[in-house]
Amino acid sequence: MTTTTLPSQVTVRKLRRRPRSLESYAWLFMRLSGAGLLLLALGHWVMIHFIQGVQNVTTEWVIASRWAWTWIRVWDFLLLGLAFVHGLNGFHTVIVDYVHNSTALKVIRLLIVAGGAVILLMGAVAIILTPMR
Amino acid sequence: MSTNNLRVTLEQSVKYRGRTGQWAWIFHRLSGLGVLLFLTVHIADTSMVYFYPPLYEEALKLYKSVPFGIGELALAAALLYHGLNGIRVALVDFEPNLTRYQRQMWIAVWALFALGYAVTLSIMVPELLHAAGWM
Repeated sequence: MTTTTLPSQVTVRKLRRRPRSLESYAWLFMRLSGAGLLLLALGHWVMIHFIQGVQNVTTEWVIASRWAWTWIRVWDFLLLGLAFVHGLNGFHTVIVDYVHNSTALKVIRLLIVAGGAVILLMGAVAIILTPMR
Repeated sequence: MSTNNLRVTLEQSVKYRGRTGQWAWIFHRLSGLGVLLFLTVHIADTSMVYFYPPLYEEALKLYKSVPFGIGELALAAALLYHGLNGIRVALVDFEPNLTRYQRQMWIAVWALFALGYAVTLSIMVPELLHAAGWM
């Protein structure tokens, strides 16, 4: 029967003196972005569904009544970046739970990053470059 | 691979009997995946406003259809639950002592969900019925 000795306070402080890993930043990002997304995403929902109504959405409305306002473009840009990266990271977490082959993981990670970048760029370009009214 | 991953996962999920904590987790996972799936398509189609507006017009026709309107109610539920449960997860992460109140917090999540979803339904269902020509 072995007993575990808890590390002394000095040891604990010495142990923590290593840089934060990418994973622990990702962990923090999920919580912080999640909090921000609550406002951004639910606000977006209110704007589209409650205030305008899906049946009343038109291309003209998007360009003239939404993206004519810079603050809405900024909102949509933040929503895009935070939501999609938050989602992709979550997706990666799920994948890692079920896929254990290291080659398969490398391929899947590449696909997530590449595919994610394409979608993200499409959205960003649209929000930034659609001509201002 | 000596063990079938899917089979092991399913077997163990049933045997784990994690009760509310396990349900909270699986709903969080499923709702997150569901929202992500929608989001990917949504970003692509909305970007068509810039790249090729006729395609956006096509997407709008789909979004205004009744089957999709019903799907939107599911999306709203997924989004609302995922966000509210996410707050619970983050709170417990940053204040581990709250683990004692895990179950109460989950009940609070559902209470807030009921409130938020009731408001959502009260606005979206009449609009949907109107679009279907039933109101």
